[in-house]
Order: sequence, then structure tokens, then C-alpha cells
Amino acid sequence: MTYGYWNKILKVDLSNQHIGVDEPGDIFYRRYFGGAGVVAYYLLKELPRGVDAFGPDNVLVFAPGVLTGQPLGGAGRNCVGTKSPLTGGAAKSEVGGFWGAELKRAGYDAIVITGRSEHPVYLWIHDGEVEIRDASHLWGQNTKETQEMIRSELGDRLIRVAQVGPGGENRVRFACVINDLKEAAGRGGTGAVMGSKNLKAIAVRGHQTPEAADPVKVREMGKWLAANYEKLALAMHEYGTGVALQGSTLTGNLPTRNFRDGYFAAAEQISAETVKETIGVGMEGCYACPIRCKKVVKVDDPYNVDPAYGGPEYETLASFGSNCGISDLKAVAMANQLCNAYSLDTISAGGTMAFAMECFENGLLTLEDTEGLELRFGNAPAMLKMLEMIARRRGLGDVLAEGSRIAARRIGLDADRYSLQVKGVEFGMHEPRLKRGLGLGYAVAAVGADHGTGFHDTMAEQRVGEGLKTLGILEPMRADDLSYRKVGVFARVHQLAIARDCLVMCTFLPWNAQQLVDMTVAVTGWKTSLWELMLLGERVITMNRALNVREGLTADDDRLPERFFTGTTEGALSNKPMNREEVERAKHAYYRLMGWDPETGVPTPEKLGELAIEWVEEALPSR
Amino acid sequence: MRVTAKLYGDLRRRLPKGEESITLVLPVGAAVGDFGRAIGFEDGEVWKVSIDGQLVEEDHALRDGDTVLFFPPIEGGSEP
Repeated sequence: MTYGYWNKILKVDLSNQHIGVDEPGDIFYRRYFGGAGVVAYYLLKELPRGVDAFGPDNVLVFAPGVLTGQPLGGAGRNCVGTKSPLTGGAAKSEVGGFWGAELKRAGYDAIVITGRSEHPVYLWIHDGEVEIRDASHLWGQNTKETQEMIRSELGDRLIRVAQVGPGGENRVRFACVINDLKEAAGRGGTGAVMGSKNLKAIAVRGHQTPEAADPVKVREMGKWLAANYEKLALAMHEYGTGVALQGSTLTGNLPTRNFRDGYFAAAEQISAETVKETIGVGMEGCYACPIRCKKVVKVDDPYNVDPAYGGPEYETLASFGSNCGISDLKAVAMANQLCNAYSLDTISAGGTMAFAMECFENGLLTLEDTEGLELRFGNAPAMLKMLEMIARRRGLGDVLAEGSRIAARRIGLDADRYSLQVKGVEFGMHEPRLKRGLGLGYAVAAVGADHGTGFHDTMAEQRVGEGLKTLGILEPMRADDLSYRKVGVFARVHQLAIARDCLVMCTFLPWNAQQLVDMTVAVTGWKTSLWELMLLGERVITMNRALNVREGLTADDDRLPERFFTGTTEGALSNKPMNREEVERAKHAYYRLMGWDPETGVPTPEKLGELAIEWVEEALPSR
Repeated sequence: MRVTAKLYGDLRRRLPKGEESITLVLPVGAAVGDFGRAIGFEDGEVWKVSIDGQLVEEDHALRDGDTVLFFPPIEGGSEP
């Protein structure tokens, strides 16, 4: 008897319309758990070396975890992974809403998609049944129309849809997969790959969740969160992400004008508090979550922002707001809607926009290039028009749709100095000159400049919470510290974060590390431990590293842009550049801590053996 | 002297439900830290404090009519 999973992984080859099922067995689940672990496994196993990310041989994986579908806040999510068209290496991104839980209810632990359909299709998965259906009539539609048409033609309003809009169809390299119209598996270009496979959507509906080993304990934990969230996550409940941006900008954390300026005087105008006071019309939640941190906004003039598309998260408030020099909250909400309708990652879209604005201001792009748009920092109407052009790949939008790294090469001259990305993925909206441990994470994360699995140094600058103490982190450290001790702190926090992504548990839920263990025991019946979760995180980090090595990425790709080695033009970080040698030293120290080759960052056979993934050795260069 | 504080993020749990700010009457010469202790903040609960758009320290002397902004640590997700 298994608990928490079905032992069924759906395999769909779109080239020949073949549908199959893997039953990988108990050891597989305990070794990889689900989510990011299952993604890493199938990418390494089934992705041929060196394939084009947009070729039919690329693999696209949708994976909830063993907790998904249980009545626990944060347990409705899934991971989406593929070979990234931005990095050429591993992409993985987690997404909320209801779809992940519904896939489990429909009878599958994950979906592995290969091949490419000759014409647009969507998958319809319901109570174990799988159909590949024509989607010609859906192609070109925005996400809202697509969801409505699918629900209507299948006759069920409770169907959940993961899908791409025109951005994914047009292979905008930072296109994402959208769940439930407003949740994004944002990073790395998963939606562009889905579009390249002519796969418009995956509709799911089911009626049975895998049984938990101790359902009473699971329900108890769910009730505990419902009873305590006001004490533990009050601001998230009331406002969602993006509060207190005035404080954030005073410390320099709020990226401003392409990470150039360091202070945004209009921070309050784009904060979550202002969202609530002005355009907010309520809050919504994801599957089984009492916190309900998802903003809902409505704007009637000068733009029509539809509450169905949700509201901007912090990352979006900053990426289209301060980082584009824009204080017009309605325009930021409109940009958020366009990204959700077209399936674009708001972080990379905003980052690429800010890149283009700085190019324009420095004469690298002209009015002729922009078709008359004054694409300057702060010009909200121009930003919105260019966003449309990106999604449609029209004019300069076709260049920017490649992401800022490739766009910089196309534009030429010294445009690359304005491209703020690692491995081709634009930065999360957290300043590495302030948070130096996070800066290391941006550099070494397999998926590019990821803020979601790093260590946010500021959380432990004055006091250390009980959760960090369970990882052996006992004393506060300065945010700008990048000593060996900080490298260790990042390494441990990153391991736990990736383990959390294997459970696909929401990072914003106030479950501590021990509670993650307790809920895993209650759901699966495994007598697991925090030690085993940490080992899981280390295993999956190493697998993604190995995939990147196999696909040609090197230690040289673990590099921060030059901008961060100078201060901001104003504000608290104006005289706080990062130190290049210090970052390099920390990077190689991290490799050593991970049991990788200290110079090249290639995982060693000893480490692969310790992690029980000797088979990954095949992926690595011969020694 | 009368000093008003605005609390952000989870610090707001120190306020009566639905309130955005709190005003206290403090003796002349009181500092930011005195206001914090009067509200009942624990050590390390507040990360940064600002008055008139500038970051200030705990020993910064308050003036009559000041509005003090108290900010919690910036996170990027919940703590492990």
C-alpha cells in the first residue's frame, strides 16, 4: 500500500500521440519525492544531450509532489520543468492555484511530455482517462478565453487548466505556464517549450486524492494553520506580497531602473498597501490554503484590468514598477494582466523591459527601432505597448522576446552591460548588493538568477528564527557578509528550499522545517527526517548541476553581471559594491561544500555515490 | 510630545485590529527605542526605522509631531 502517491506517471509523446504510464515504484518516490525531484530525474533520463529547447526531443514535465492534494495549506502546487530556452540548461518553476491538486485527484503523480504535435492540441485528463484533443480553435486565444472555451466544450466549470497564451505560442523565450489564469510557473521559459510542442493546455478533473497514511494528523495540521495564520502570516493574509516598500527602498533592496539607481521615491505608490487601498477588490486563496494571499484588483480607467487575472505580486510590482521607473500602479496591474493573459514571466518581462529602457536612454535603441515609442524609464504607456509587441513578436518586440541576454547580442555595441541576468534568466527583484548570500545563490543556482531558493540574508540580520536554528544557524549575520560561514548558510537553506520544491510546498506558508517533516510522515507513512529532506535537496541540486554540465554550462556561467560590482547611483547601496574576488571565492567554496570539483563545479563520483545517483555519472564529461 | 508610528508587515499585529497607526504621548527627549519598547516590540522584531524618508537608529531623538515608520525584516518567502 502506498500513501500520498499513485505510482503512476503519465507519459505523452505528442509526435505519435502515444500515451503510456510509468510505475516507477516506492524507492523512486522516496528518492525523488515529486516536484523538482521528478523533474530533475526525467530531464536527465529522457532528454537527449544537446537538443534544441524548441525541438521535439525536449522534455516537458509537470509534477506535483507527495503532499499535493492533501488538505494542507500550500499543498495544491506543482513544478514545471524542461530544458530552458533561456539558459540551455535546467528550468524548473513552481506554481500555485488548484491545478496540481486536481491532477493528483485525476489519478497521476506527474506528466512527462515529449515530441511535438503537428497541429495545436490540448490534453484532457479526467479520473485516469487521457485524451489528446484538437486545439486549433483555441490557438491564438488569451488564457481567459481558452479556459472558458475548454470548460464550456467539456461541460464542467470545475475543470482546472494549465496553459499557454500567445506568448507561449510565439515562443517568447520567457513565456511561462499559467495555472487557473493567475498563477505562473514563471521562470525559465517553460511556456515557450509548451508552445513549441503545439500543446495549448492541459485540462484536469478528478475525484480522488491518494490516501494519507495518517489522515487524522494531516487534518490536525491543516486545522492548526487555519487557527494560527493570523499570528504567523498576518501581512500575507491582509495584503499578500509587496508590503513596506518604503522601507525596502531606503535599504536599497527595491530594484530601481534596471538595478541602476538604488532608490525609488515613489515606492509607496506601488506597494501592496496601496494596491489594497486603491485598486484592490479582495483577496483569494489557492487550494486548501486559509491565508488567501492572492490579490484581486480591478481597474476601469484608463485600462481595463479584469479581476479574473488576479493582481500583481511583489515581483511584478517591482519588475514593472520601480525597476522600470514606473509609479503608475494601474499600469503595473495592466502589465500583470497582459503577462497572465499571454503567459509571460513578469520578472523576465519586466527585467527585459528595463534593459530596453536603459538601452534607449543611452542611444543603443532609437525611435526608429521602437516604432516611435519613447521607451524611457517611467513611460508606462510605452512599456505596455512594448509588452504587447513582445508577446506578438512584432518589431523590436521580436528581439526583446529573446530575453535580455540574446537581445543584447542582437543590439550590439555595449548593450550587454545593461542585461541583468545569470545564464540568461533575469534577476528576481531582490538586490544582491544588499543580500550577499542571495547574490551567491543568484550566481550558482542551476536555473539562473533565482530568488526563490536562495537565502534572504536580511531575515537573519538581527535575530535568527527557530526554523533556521534547526539547520544549525544560531547567530545573526550581516546581510553583506559573504564569509565561508555565509556560504554554508546559503548551502543549507538552498538544500531545504529545493527539498520544499520536491514536496512542492508553498514557500510563503509559515510551515517550519520540522512541520514539513511531520506532514511528510503523516501523508506518506515514511519515517523520514529533516536529514533525509536535506539529502533530497542536495541530490536534486546535484542532478540539476549535472544536467547543466552535460548541456555545456560551466563555472564561468555562475557569474554576476558587472553592474553589481559598482554601487548604485544613489541610496543606501551607492557605496556598497560587491567584491568580485569575494564572490568568486564564495562560489568555489560552495562547490567544495557541495562535493563538486572545487574549480569546475562538476559533481564528483564520490558525491554521486553518496547521493545514490551513480547513474548520473553518464551525464558528465569523462574524467 | 505626541508621536505617531506606522507599522508595516507583520508588525501590524501590535496594533488594534483595523488600525494603521498608533499615537503615543512621550516625554520630551524620548528616542525611537523608547517608542518601540512602549509598543512592546521584542528584540530583533523591527529591522529598520524611518522618519522623514531617512533611516534612523534606536537612539534617534524624537520630536513632537514626528511620524515614525517601523519596518520588519525583508524576506523573500517564509523562514525555514
